[in-house]
Amino acid sequence: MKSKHYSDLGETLYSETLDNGLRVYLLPKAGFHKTYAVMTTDYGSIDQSFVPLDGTEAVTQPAGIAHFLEHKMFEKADHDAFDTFAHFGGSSNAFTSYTHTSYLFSATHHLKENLETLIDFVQDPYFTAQTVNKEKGIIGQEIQMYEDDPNSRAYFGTIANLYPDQPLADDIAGTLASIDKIKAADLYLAHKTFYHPSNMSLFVVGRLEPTETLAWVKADQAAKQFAKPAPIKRILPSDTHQVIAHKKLLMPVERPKATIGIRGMDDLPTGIDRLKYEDALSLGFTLLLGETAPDFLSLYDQGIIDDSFGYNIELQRGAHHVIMAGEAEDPQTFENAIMDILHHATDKLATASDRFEAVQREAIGSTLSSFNSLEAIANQFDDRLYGDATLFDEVSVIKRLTMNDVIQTMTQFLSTAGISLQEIVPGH
Amino acid sequence: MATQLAKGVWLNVIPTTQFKTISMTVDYIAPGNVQELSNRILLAQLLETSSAEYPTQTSLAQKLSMMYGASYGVNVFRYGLQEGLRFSSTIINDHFIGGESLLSEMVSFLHSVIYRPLVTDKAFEPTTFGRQKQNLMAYLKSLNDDKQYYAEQQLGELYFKNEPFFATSLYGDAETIAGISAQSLYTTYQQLLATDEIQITVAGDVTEADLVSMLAHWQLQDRQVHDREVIYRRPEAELVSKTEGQPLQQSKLNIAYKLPVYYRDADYYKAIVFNGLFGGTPISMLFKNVREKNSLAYYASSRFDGFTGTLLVQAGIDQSNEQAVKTIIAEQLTAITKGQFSDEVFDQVVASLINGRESRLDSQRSLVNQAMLDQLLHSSVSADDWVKQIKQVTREDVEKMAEQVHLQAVYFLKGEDAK
Repeated sequence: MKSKHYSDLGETLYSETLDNGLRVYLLPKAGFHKTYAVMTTDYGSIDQSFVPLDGTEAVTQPAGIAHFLEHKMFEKADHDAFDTFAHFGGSSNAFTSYTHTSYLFSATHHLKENLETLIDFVQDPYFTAQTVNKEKGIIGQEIQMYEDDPNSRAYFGTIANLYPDQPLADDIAGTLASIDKIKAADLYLAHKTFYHPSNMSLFVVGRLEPTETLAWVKADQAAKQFAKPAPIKRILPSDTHQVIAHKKLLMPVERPKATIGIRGMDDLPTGIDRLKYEDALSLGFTLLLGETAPDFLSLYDQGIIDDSFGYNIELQRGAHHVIMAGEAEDPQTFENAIMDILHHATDKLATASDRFEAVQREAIGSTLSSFNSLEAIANQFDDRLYGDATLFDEVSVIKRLTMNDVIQTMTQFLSTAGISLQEIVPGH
Repeated sequence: MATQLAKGVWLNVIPTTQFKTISMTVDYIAPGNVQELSNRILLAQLLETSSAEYPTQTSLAQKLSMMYGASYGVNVFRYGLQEGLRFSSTIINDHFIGGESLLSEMVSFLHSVIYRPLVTDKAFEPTTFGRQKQNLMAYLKSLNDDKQYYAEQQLGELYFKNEPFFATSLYGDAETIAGISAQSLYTTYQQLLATDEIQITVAGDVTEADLVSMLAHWQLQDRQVHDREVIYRRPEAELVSKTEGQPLQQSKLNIAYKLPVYYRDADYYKAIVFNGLFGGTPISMLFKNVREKNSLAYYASSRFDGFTGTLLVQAGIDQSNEQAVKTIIAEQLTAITKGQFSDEVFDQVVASLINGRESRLDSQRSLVNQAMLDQLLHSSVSADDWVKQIKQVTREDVEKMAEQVHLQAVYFLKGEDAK
């Protein structure tokens, strides 16, 4: 077992890759009462086309299958994993993103039993025609709930506009029509291919003793047989890199909503430089449109933006983009104002160096604060996106950033980016 | 432990090294009504974005950024009959950022934003006031776009139709807010600062002595201690129902029951276990039967509020299943009264509740809230004692709880064809 101490965080992270390929991370947190564990596969809603493990021919599965699989993993032949966790006081859940599926529990007692329950239920699929059909009603309600939610429509609609010919354009949960096509055999095939230990990681944080905890995981895995790991062949449709520039959607809303998506077309650096890129982008947007920016105040005072305005920098396997959104009485004015700022970003940043220290400090503080939350640490941890670097290196990366790094990164990102505008306006 | 800094002014300190941050709240608390609640909500909106020392969002944000991204917020809470205006801030522990004294800086900052508001001629500065009032009104409008929130609010208006204070959303009542002026709000604020009970709560790597000396500069004056009644006992009323149509894909069914059991009463722990079994956990009977067994919903749950003795049920369903879901919900209540649940599920519910309570010890915000509430109520129950009480609840206790549940209000937001 390796251990690495991060003195600026006051944290020591333990890790080991097991013989079957499962990457295990353990972070003891003194003083905490609960333990939080999350088991994640590098498989999300965009992984619809692939060559199955042991197969030679590519298959394409219905949109929403990763999320459907997530729902169905809990149900077993004679029990529900929720109940097994509850028996040991564990509270369990799961979530699916574009690129990952994660299963989790948190518990203040019976760590060993809860941990074994987690690993076992994720590695032991059980699907029948009947259980699969039953889930369609539940997920159908989930889809319809999000269909009625203007913020969800604004966000997912914008991602779809940025990647119109990619599986990112499909909602994570799919559609009523696509999930209707899902069969038990599809779920087994996806599970076999993507839930191999070599495509998964396990992060445990909170009240734990590393040596003992690792021994439990190892013993559990040693008792099971797995197929030989093989590299996963994912297939993506060819990408025209064209975005849908503008879309208007009618919904029964009280206030119009405007969303601007900015898709990066530049090649991302690898390893820790990618983390640096992400943090530089984050600082750049804070300097341009964060609450300390003169433009923010000017737009706010003119009533063009209000407290609902916000933006997110998102970087994931195969894609990176910035999503900015807000409620606006006049979405057109909102879009014009933001676009104007983006067009003059380099000039504006050139005069922002007196605010650099403040936004840098803010980023350091915000990263440090996130280490208060077991969930935040484990959910944000990604050990493949940045090479050997992780969330734990972020504070030192931010500390080393300079204004020049920010200008360079922002220029690289914005000069080739594709931009999409979406409005949701009252009507139906 | 609480220390009285002046009459009606309390300091609660929770020293702990568990977190990377120090969290501080300053609460101004008084018995509530619709006007005062709306005043506080507008005050929160205004004071979160401006003060005499930091007149604009940018100047305020710049200060917070330099304090390593200290958080600062103002919000309003309601515990039963009491309402509070809360200023909160969280900073990074000094030793992670190399020796700066952020704590005393935060204490001074909070004093500045609370006691030196942006004022001209005994009124809030009119431009800022006007903009923030407008923003709040716009926000209230947009809240209706969240249908889960909207349905719950509509149910509240049915259930509390004779108690407008409880029917009012914690985001405010638009009509009342519309009538507030920059002068009237400033007068109200001065009064609030002078007469409300104050609770200051700090959790983190701090000592009480340090805080007492930092807060001495605030020169907080004695004040009369208000009526501290927190619990609201709603009278029994006739069942009221309402159905409303909107162009939505999913319909929302929200139900309110009276369960006359109150926070920390002898029966309180029984009500918690009952709610966990009925709909308060993912192993509950509502989740199992509405969702897992009959595939009628993605969410179907219940919540118990011990400050008003209210049990709320909510489910997102297809409009054609309204009757079926209502029947299943009623059947679960009856089943509990008859003891039709397994020992295994009962034990699971108890274990889940204990897990939830103990987990709150890992949240700085929960520790702060609990300390403040304990002081407000002049009583406290440690997590260990809470767990002991929950473990003593029996199956029979829970059956008896279900018998006391009384249907009072039903609201159905019916999804209709968008065409």
